[in-house]
Amino acid sequence: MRYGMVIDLKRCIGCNACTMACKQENSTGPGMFWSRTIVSEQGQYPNARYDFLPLLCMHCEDAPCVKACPTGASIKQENGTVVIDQRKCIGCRACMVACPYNARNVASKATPYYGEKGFTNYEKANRHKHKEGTVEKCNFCTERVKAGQKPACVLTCTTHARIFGDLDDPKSEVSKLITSRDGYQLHPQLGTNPSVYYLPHKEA
Amino acid sequence: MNKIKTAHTDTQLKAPSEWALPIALIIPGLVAAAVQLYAGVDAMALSQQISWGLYIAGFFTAAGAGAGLLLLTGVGEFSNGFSRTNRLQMLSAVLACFVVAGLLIFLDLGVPIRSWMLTASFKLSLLGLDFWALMIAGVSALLYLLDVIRDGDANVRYVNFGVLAILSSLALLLVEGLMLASLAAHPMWNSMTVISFLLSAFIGSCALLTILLAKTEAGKTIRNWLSIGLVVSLIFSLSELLTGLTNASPRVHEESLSLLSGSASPYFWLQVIAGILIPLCLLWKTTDRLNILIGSLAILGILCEKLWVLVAGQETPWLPIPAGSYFPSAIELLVVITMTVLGIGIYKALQKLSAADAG
Repeated sequence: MRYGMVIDLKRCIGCNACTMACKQENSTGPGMFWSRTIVSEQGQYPNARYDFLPLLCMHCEDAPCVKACPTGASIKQENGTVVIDQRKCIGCRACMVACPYNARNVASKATPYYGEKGFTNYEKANRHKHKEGTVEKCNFCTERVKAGQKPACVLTCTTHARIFGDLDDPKSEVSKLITSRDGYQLHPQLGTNPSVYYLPHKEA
Repeated sequence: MNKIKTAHTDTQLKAPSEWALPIALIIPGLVAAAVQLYAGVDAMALSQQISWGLYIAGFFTAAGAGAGLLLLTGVGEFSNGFSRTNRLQMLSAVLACFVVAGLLIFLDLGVPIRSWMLTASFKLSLLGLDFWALMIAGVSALLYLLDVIRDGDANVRYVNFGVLAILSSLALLLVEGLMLASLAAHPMWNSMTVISFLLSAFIGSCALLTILLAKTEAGKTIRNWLSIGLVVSLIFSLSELLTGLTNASPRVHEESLSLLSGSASPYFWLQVIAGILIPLCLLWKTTDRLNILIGSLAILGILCEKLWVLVAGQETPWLPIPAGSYFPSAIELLVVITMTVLGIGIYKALQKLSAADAG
């Protein structure tokens, strides 16, 4: 089994609901985004358009971050998900340097979202999940997936642009979409073999 | 009686000036280091794009110079050899470099208190190997130094330690170069870092020897070797820039533009001007003076080189996001200055211990 995600760029409207769902699910602090969407302008008037590129950890099969980690904090699970054991991370950031997809972030000192109003109860309840100085990133909502649910970003996506499933199963929705719609990886020449595929805007 | 009293008074008056400057330099830096430990990565000017900055550049500089000097000390056992005094000086400088390197890495960690985990993990990674290579080189240098101290004035060749010194220092340099060269995420590092690390280790060791031994019989040879190293470094750096600017790959071109006039350019030009050209002029114009200044500028040049390699290599993302930029924070600058002064202090302390033991 190898969990992966397919993102349909034809459907993505850049609403950032996934970004917010991820933030809420994982209680990430201000400025920390495990999932985000890049907006770029293409073409010229009158044929200009916005392109949206949702980004997250690619959960690469040949993950350079896992190789770079000196303490074994970054590990590739059997189901293909790359996770970080926060208890082992020393914050050397070798994984951040190794990652070509800017997927990782260093946790700063905990600061409240609402400034002078202090931490909300939700922030207080979840602060322990983010150890200051350690590196963190998308983990494909490991706990949700274990419980048989979809990752928060997949469930929330308003246009069903994100699909999650087993890349090793040729009958899964993700596998079928990659084959039928010419799904591609970001920068495959780097040899990382990401588990996140993108479906192009236009049909082949 | 009066003459003795006067002499005693003169000594009392002189003593404060010897440590006043180092303390004036160290105290702000120690405060900065405390702030660094408290604030963690927030005290550094790093970003998601550029995750390794001045501390890592300082680490590479100190570890490289120390490894280069250890290598030369080891090689010396198989040639004419260095005198006992020279060995003590060189090995003390090696240890001072390694301690400074270790402290900089410790301060750079996001969770320094967990640094012990590097010793507890047996996971194979180049950063882990770098840690162990530094430990082995450091322990080798320490045992080497202790043996030299113990043997007193005996005319001894330390062949075994020579071999250990050569192997451990080469291992450290190669691992550090490969650690960067192996990262597909930063193609700029793929072709140049191993050579760069070996070259800067040579320059660093010659720079340290220029400071320590330039007034000895070997002084002229040392200054000549430093000149050669600096010229090669100049050619290397400028050709790196030129080949990048003329490269068809947009990414490589962008990285080289950063060296010419972008965010990495201050470090690049500081290396070229202050770290190479000025020391070269001083080496050629002056015969036996300004050794400390020449050696210090050469080491500054290596620090700047490591910094531009790190910045220019990291700042260009693969994703369609803005490029990063980096200028060290005041905390980082103060800490590095303090670590340098501390390194000098460690060297002097080791020298005093060696002399006391010999006495």
